[in-house]
This record gives sequence, C-alpha cells and structure tokens, in this order.
Amino acid sequence: MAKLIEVTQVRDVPSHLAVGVGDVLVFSAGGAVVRAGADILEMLGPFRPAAIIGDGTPLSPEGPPNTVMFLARASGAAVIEVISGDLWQKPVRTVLNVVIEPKSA
Amino acid sequence: MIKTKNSTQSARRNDGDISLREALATIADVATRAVGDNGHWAHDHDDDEDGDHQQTAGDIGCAVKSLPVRLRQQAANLSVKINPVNAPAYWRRSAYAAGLMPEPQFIAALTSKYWGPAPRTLTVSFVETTPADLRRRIVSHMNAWTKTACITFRETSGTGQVRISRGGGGYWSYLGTDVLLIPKSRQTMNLEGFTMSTSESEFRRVVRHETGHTMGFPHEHMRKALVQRIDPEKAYVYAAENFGWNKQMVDEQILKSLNEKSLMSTPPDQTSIMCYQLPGSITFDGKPIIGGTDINPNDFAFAGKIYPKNAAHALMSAHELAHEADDWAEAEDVMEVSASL
Repeated sequence: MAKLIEVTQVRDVPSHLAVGVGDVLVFSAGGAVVRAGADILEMLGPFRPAAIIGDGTPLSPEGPPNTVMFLARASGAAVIEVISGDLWQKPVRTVLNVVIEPKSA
Repeated sequence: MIKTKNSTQSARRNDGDISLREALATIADVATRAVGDNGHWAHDHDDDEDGDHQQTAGDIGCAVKSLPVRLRQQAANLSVKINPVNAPAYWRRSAYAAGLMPEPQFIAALTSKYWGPAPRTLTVSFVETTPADLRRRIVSHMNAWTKTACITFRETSGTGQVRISRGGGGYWSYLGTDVLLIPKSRQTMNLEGFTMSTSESEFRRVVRHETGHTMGFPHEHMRKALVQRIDPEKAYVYAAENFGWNKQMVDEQILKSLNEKSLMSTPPDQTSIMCYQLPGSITFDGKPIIGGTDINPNDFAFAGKIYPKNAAHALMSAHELAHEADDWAEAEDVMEVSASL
C-alpha cells in the first residue's frame, strides 16, 4: 500500500530518502524544484494553505504557498531541492536525494 | 501602507484584496471626516481647514458615489449574498458597544474583514508548547500596533482567537475577522521556527507584519506602481528556478496589481511593514523593492485612523452618508440582480 509521508521540518530529515512507487511526499515548504528525475518523481504544487469554513468553501490566509507534494511515479533516483523559511528574504534550501523503489516498502 | 481618500465599489469584482482595500479606504475616509481631522495620512495637502475635502485639479482618481438611502439595505444584503464574509457581525457588535445603533444601510460602507472601530482585545494562544518568555515576546510585538490602534492582544491559557504555530510552512496569517472562521484546532498565524534566539529585527519584521494581517491589512506590494517595476519575464524565470512556482502562482503572489482606479493614494509605500521585500533581479531597473522592516509612521497613522482610540468619533451618521449620496429617479432603481453574480 502506498504511503503518505509528511515532512514538516525538511531540515531535520536525512539527505537520502527511500520511498516506493506510489508514495506521496508532503513537505511544509514554499517551493521546490526537481533537479533530476522529473520523469519519475512528479512535483505537485506548491499549494497555499486553506481551511474549510462554515459554508463549505476554502479560505486562505495572506502569505506564500506552504506545501509541496511529490508523487513517486516510477522507480529510479531523483534529486529535489526544497525551499522553506522566508522565500524572499531568507530561503532555506535543502537538497534531497530520493530513491524510488519498485514497490512501496 | 495604502493612503486612500476615496474609492468605488464594484459588485462584480470578487477579489478579496481589492474589496478589503476599498473597505478600509472607505473606513478611513469616514473616520477622517467624522473626526474632523484634516488627515495626516491622506491628502493633507488638499484638505481645507474645516475638514471638508475640496477636490483640486491635482486630484486624480474617482470619488465615492454613495447609493441613495433607499437602496443601501439592498446593497448591504447583496454584498453579503455575493460574499458571506462581508456580513459585518463584528463591526455591528462593536458599534453597539460604543453606544451606537447603526442603520442597516450604514453597514454597506463598512464591510469585509474589519474588526470595527471600538476598542477590542483579541486573545492569543500557542499551538505548540512555547516558553513563557517567548510567548511574552511575541505578544509584545503584536501589541506594537496599539501605539495608535485600539486593538490589543492578550495571551490566554485557553484557545485564543488568534492561534500561533511555530511549525513548518513559513510565515502567514489569516486576514482580520477571518480568524474567527478558522477551526479552533488550526492556527490562524504561522511563525515558522521563531525562538528566543531569533533576532529582534525578525520579530519586528515578521511578527508585526503578520499581526497587520490579523488586523485586516492586506499586502502593500501589489500597488500598481510597484508591480509595474517588476519585469514579468524575469519574475517567472526567477520564481520557477528558485521556488518551482508556475506562472499562475507568480501572477497571484507578486504580479496581480490592485485596481488603482478605485484608489486615490499617495505614492505606494514600499517601506510599509505590509510590503514584501523583492529582489532587484526581478525588477526592470535592477533595484529591489525595499519592503518594510518595521511598522512605519504611515502604518501607524493608517491603523490609528481605522482603529481609532476614540471610537465614537470614527462613526459617520446616516445623515452624513445621505448627504454624500448620488441619486436618480426611484423608477430607475435596479431591484433585481442577475443570478449570474
């Protein structure tokens, strides 16, 4: 079964990640770039946060996007750079090497 | 901080930032005239001594045209129908608290995310376990706005109206009264990674900026004159390479300018605390948009105008509104509005 892998502090995770095909990585970050392997690791977003309010509609705060997702499409190796913190003033760039195994472990 | 004297409203334009700015501009205008203040923050060069504004040849822009009194109730209802957030429950409550009984039609001029003119204390809580000294420091910076404004922030041991997280996700806040719509389990403000080791300048720049949003102030950097300094192609390339943002995100975050036709403003204030700091690498002239590092005098003045410490003076009577009204034959009134809205 595929996994939803949430990373709230990208700076705290190891620089090498191992995931399986079908897994989804979710980072609390304002942006990200796939430096290698875009054909096997698909980036979704970035997304702005939002909450559902009483009438069923989403409401977003003022501010930049804060979530980036990656869907592991196929096995192989990819390199991503996740940008967190204050994007315009003090961006924190974290490079992660992602190995995608044929099957979700 | 934006400095407007007049604005127009467009029922068809459903843009949160623009609507909020228009509402704030109207509020500020009402407050200025009601207080009889010649205005230190808006057009003090062309206000005459008795406080009545006389438009001069130097004025550029649109004047507010109020609806006839008979249509204001319908206009208020329509604004809420188009956007339920416009229902001014909190403004109305604060007006009652100030001893005033606002007519329903008056509400149409004071809408959206404004907390209202009466002094108000908003409670603050923290999502994560946070040291007492850090909690005090954050709340202290939030209260920097109270130098001129009547909104104060007070920490509570329970669940606050303003809920702060220091977790991942950057810096952001919901706008004004929107914070009351957010589920209690979620933060209304995010201050990623703030600790006692964070520099004082960052507390001033970030905490005060996000608190401005909580008070209902949107971003300043989307003023047309500032946006026009940005080279879209440079911005698209920069944001794609550095953040992975697509064109739509860039448009939304930095290239969507406000409709200046609805504003009579002084030159955009790139040092407002509500203005983003943008790099020179995305501007035509190579110079950065400076951005605000602290609440500046214009910010304080604007906050004091729409959240005056003397609330009663900030309210305009229905008579004054009627005096400003445009009018036409009653037979021409549009009583039915298309469902396409």
